[in-house]
Amino acid sequence: MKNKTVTFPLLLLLLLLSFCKAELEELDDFNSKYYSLLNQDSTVVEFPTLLEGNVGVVGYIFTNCPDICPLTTNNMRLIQKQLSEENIKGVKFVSISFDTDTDKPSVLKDFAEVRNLDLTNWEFLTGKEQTIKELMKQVGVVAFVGDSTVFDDGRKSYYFVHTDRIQLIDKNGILRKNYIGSKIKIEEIIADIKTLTED
Amino acid sequence: MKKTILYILVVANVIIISSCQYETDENKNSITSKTNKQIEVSNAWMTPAAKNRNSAAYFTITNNSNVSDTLFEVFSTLSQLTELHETYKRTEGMLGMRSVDYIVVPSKEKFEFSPGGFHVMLIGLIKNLPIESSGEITLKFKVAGSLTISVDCRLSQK
Repeated sequence: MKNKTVTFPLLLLLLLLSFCKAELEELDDFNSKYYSLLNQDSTVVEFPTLLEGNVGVVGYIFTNCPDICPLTTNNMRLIQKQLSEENIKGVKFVSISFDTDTDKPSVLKDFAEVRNLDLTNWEFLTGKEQTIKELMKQVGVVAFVGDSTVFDDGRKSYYFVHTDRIQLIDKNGILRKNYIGSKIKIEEIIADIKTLTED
Repeated sequence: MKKTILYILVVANVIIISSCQYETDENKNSITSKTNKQIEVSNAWMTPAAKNRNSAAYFTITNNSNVSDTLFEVFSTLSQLTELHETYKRTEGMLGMRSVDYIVVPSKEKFEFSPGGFHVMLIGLIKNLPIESSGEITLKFKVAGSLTISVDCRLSQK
């Protein structure tokens, strides 16, 4: 009787642990199409080719966003910091802007610099309107102009309604998981990254 | 003799006018001081952003008074425009942002401006707002009057 009392919770614990280490599903293959983009230094890069056999942590932003996109970007910074502290290599960070009118390479560079971001394994990307539209469709991110503010001189500052997302892409360019960018649990994605880097 | 009387009158007028001015300033100070007691603003911070881009400021308002108060206007010299904004949920996983006209803080209650919710939007920054910089934002309340707060720039809430 005593043995049974101990065995059952133990089995339950093992079962739960096995669920915790569940395999990350293959959600989409991003290799079906390549997108020519510009990074923050105006260098032409191709997505997802730029991941070059690394695990990719990809966020979707616009720099005029004061609230959600800075949260997403800061979460990516915290992920990068945690990986560095744990000496986990083979991960690249990419932030792609869907505001092609405003977010030119220099604007993306300013966005990163004012936040003191470490760009050694992190690129900020922009591109032609049509290219970005197609890319957003492929990755499942919706973004369209919502409200705007008009300055005294008639200029407009507009704000996107958009999907709040960070994606995890494996070494082969396969999408493995979607997270809520502004509310991502750092421990969760770190565990997922470890699973993919150990594969 | 007439000149002396005229001189005394002019001096007296100057003294009276200056003391009236002093009294007005005193009243002003006492209103400000009262305002600070009625409305408290704490944990103020804002996100870093580059020149011409936008930042958001967050804080907690505590209304210690016995009446509701309304925050109806915000102002800062940090940006070309300053507005009250709210991030809101659209459909599944989609977020948008819109301006709000005012915010009511009920008596003896707190109101949180926090990431993903209400914020003061600093639109079109005059200069870069790097980490560890700071600035001032003036909040205008219907009952308590104006309150200028100091806001630190950092990457996330403490």
